[in-house]
Formats: sequence, structure tokens, C-alpha cells
Amino acid sequence: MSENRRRCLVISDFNAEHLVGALNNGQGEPGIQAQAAPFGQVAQVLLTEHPCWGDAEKTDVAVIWTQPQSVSPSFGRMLAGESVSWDEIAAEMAGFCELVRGASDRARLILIASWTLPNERRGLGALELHQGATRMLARMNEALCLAFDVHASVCVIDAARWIGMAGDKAASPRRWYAGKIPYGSQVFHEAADDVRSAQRASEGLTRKLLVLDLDNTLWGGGIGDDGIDGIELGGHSPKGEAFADFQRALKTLTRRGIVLAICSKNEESVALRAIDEHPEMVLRRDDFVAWRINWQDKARNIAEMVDELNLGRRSVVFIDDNPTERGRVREALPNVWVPEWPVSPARYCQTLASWDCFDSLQSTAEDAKRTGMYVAERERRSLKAEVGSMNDWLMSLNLQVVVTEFDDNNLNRTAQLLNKTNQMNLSTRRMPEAELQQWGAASGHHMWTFVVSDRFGESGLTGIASLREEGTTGHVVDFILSCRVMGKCIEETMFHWLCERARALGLSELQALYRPTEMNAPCLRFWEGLGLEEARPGHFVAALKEPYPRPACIELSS
Amino acid sequence: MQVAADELVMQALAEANSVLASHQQISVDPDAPLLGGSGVESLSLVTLLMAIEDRVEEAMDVELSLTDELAEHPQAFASIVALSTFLATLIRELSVE
Repeated sequence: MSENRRRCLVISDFNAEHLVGALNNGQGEPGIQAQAAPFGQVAQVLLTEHPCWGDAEKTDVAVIWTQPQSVSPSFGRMLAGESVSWDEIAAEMAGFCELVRGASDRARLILIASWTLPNERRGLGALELHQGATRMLARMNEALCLAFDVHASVCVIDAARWIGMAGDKAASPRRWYAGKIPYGSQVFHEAADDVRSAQRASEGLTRKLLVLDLDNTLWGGGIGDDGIDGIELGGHSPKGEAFADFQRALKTLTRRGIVLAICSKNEESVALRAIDEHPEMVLRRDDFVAWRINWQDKARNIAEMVDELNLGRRSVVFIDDNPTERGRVREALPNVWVPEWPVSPARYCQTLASWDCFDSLQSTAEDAKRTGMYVAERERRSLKAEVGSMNDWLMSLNLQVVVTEFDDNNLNRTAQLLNKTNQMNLSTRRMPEAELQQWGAASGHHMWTFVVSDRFGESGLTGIASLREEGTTGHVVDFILSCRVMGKCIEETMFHWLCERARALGLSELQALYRPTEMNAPCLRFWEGLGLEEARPGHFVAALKEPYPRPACIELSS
Repeated sequence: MQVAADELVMQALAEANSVLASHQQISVDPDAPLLGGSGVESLSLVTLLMAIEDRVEEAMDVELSLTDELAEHPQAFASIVALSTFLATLIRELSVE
């Protein structure tokens, strides 16, 4: 068990053993094996090869949780009523940020807890936000975020939320005086949940698809019985307003790259008419990437939609007000997350807002466009149904692939794709931007990115391939393709490109070693389908004497 | 009162163990020693006592200082069962006052 757990180091200026306990005892994925650095030695641990970092493998995640007055003694003087300038505090903070940057290559992910003051502290009362420490602390946290905005492996996480969630049990003077533990247990549990969630996001395990029921989930009542004028949505009733707000919250999720689908037992034409025509609907047909509105088993419907979208079941969340339907899907599709759902629509938004399954450590322009890209994909599928053969369909799409060398301009999106793609992924390497940049710059390493578009629109940077030269052999290190564009000969085009580049580099063969995970079987099937020699199962060898042809349906440029 | 004290101690024990690492866990065996060479680590004991104090204060609006009591009556902290018995007595006395 412990060998599968992620290694976590907690660095703090107070006794953070309770965070270590909460992390180690937590039941969620991924499992974490945490240990605390000696408390009160933040600078020493960050500065040196302290033994607590371990000497074998890199630490997966380091959590740095400090009190503002220990990072900035000037802030401590401000708390004591002295007059202190921002410049004095900023200089001390810069030193702290430099320490963190210096240690950033020792952990794959560094999480810095934002600085907080006790909830009950009133400071200067009405003047606190104008002249007090609270205003200065907000500035410090802002500066801390700015310092690491461009450092993808360092993230400032919101400790104020942990304190807020624990309410009047957050601060614990008794624990402080007895053991230098400033907080009650709930604060540490909240912190542990956020650390686990950030680690999960860094490994690409964020949920991506939210499947929704309709009746009593997106609106009140049943569309079949109540009709378009009878359902409760918007208006001035408490229920109607709650459903409309819930739809707004779902719309917000789509702007973060989470896509929505419908699974409802209804007549499709009736339900779609409500979605298209009800004046208070916030979500319209183009906000959904797929739907199954029929009288079939919901588990079967969801499984079909997930396959159609090329997503893994671990990417999926299902919301339904009906406990029987929830139970059925939970039982049939154990990897789909089916949360308990409140009875009152007044609590729908609150429940959705509390979930960490959609947490992400990066946000790119692609995220906001994702629903549009899937909707375009739906149109492609519709065309597929009309066009006879697979080949005719692919030819009709006018597929274009633009290959670009991996560089600083595409670093952000490349790292995001590398760290979140599960299915078409040869080696499932995970690494922060800085490490990826280093890898790409090393001698004999080559990495390319693939931007895909067709007549329905842009799918964006959706592919990565990389090679490592060793003698006359090119080792394929990464072969990654977003599930959104799988099955359209992009994979074959990437392989064609690798062969061409390897030949141009004077290499005589390509080797690709498939590293199995729970989710990357599609990648194995693709490589097996190429008909290459297998030195042993999963170890593919391609002689480069003859070129591997580019698929005729693809226009390739670089 | 004893039943209420037993329940509070068991709830506090569960809370304490939820934030203690595996080597710091407190046995749920009521007779397992808390103090001495075969007792629990000091962090574990402090965590348990603080959790009990919080729960007593919340449930009964009675403020305790078990760390002070520990200095005066160490034998009352010898095991979970001894602690529960002592807690019931303390609450009874404080309620009367």
C-alpha cells in the first residue's frame, strides 16, 4: 500500500503533525504518505538538502504552511501596533519566495498555504481594512500569488477557506499553548482534503464530464406531465430561482473546461423543446456535448455517452435527484462518481460548489472553449451517420494538423496535456513545467506538439510526441493524444511525423515502450494496430527503411 | 453521567486518532495504558485531552483544564477507562458548582 502512496513533506513553523495525521489517515485518492519536517525550521529545510527530503525519489508534494509574522518579522511588528511600511514587508517576503524557488526542484508540486489571521481578531475595528494588518495581509497574499503565477509547480492554496469551514473551532489557543498546534482538527482535515485534491489535479485525475438528469435536477417538476409552462424554473418562486441559479453554476463550470451531458428518462423531443424554448433556461442545447433522453437504463446510456466522447469513466460525475437511479448507476458503473444529492433545490448550488473533483492546477484558453469543441465533435458524429464509409467521413472533415516544436510558447498547454491525458498516453509521464522544459532542452531530446482543426473548428493543441536519441535508435518517450481527437487518423499522422523526423535525424529504428496504467489500453491497441515488430509484449520496434505513409485524409504542415 | 462521559471520551478518541499518524495512534482498548513507558506519545495525549475539553465544553458548557488535572492526578489518566471515570466525576462536581 505505502509504495503506491505519494510522498508528502509538510514544512511549517508550527506543529503540523495533525496535518500529517489527517493526510495519512485520509481515505481519498491518491493515498498520501506524509511526514513533517522539524517545525520552526522552514528556512533551514528549504535551503539545504535536509534529510527530511529523503534521498531516493523526488518528493511528490511539499506543503509549506507558515504564519505571516514568522516569514515577515515586520508584519509581526505591525501586529504589535508599530508602524511598518509595505517595502519592509515586501523585502522579507522576497527572501521567503526566493527560498521556495530554490527548493522547487526537490518536489514535483509545492503548495504554499496562504497567510491568515484568527477569525475572531478585530484589530483596529472599523479601521482594520483601511489601516490594519488585515489589509497588509491581503497585500502579502496577493504578492505571494504574483510571485508564483508563472511557476506551474508552485501553487498558493487558500488556507482562509479551511479556517472559515471550521468556524469557531478553527483557532485553538489551548492546543497552541499545550503543543504549538494553532488549529482544531477540522482545519487540518480541510487542509488535507485540499492537498489531496491538488495532488490529484497534478496527476490529471480531475473529473471532466458532468452528466445531469433533467426533471427535478435542472428544473422542478416533470416536463412530460407538467409541460413547458408547468415546470418550475426561474421566475419569482424560491424553487424556480434555485433551479435557475443551479443552471448558472453549471454554466460557470463549462467556462472552466468541464463539459455537460444529459441522461434523462423522458421523450427526447419534449425535453429538447423545453431546453430550446423555455424562456428561463440558462443552459441551452449547445451547452451539452451529448445527451441520452429516452426510457433506457441510465447506466447503459451513460456508458454509451462516455464511450462516444472517448472519455474514461473515472472522468465522469452523475447528478440525479432520484436515489434509485443514483444507486443503479453507482452499482453498474463504479468508476463514475455518483454523489448523494440534496432533496431541496435550495442546496444544489452549495453542494456543487463544495466539490473538489473538478479542481485543476492550470487554466488555459483551451479550457473555456472545450464545450464548443465537443459540440463541433457532435456535429462531426452527425455527419458520420450521414456519410457512408469511415474513409468518406474522414475525407469530408478536411482535417488539418500543424506540427510545432515544443517551446516556451506552448509550454503551458503542453504541460497541461501531458499531465492530464490518460487514455492515448504511451508512458504517462507526469512532470511540472520546469521539469518538462529541462527535458525538452536536453541534448538528443526532441518534442513536437500537434494542433488539430477541421471544417467544424479548432480542436487546439491536442497531441504531443517526443523522441530521445540513443545511438541510431530513436526512443519514443511520449505519444499523447487528447481523447477529443482520437480515431481520426491523428495518431497515424503523429507516427508518420515521428518516422519522418527520425529518418531526417539519421536514425535507423524507432522503439516505443508501452507502460500500462489502468486507463491507457487504447494506446496499446493503437500501437498493436500498426503491425510493428514487438521485441517483447508492449515493446514496439519500427525499422525506418521505408517511410510510414501520411493518412490521405490529413493535411499536414509544420 | 458516566455514560455521557464514556461517550464523550470515545468521540474525542476517534477525533484524536483522525489527526494522529499511525505510530501516534491511541488504542481504543479501554484498559490500554496512556501514561508511562508503554503509554502513548505526549502529542497523542495532548491531542486526546484537547479533544475531550472541546467536546465537554460544547456539550455541557463546562470549561475544563485536563492538562492541569493531569499534573495533580496522574493516576486518573492511566487508561481510557480511568480517564472516563475521572471525567464523569469532574463534570458532576463542576455542574454542582
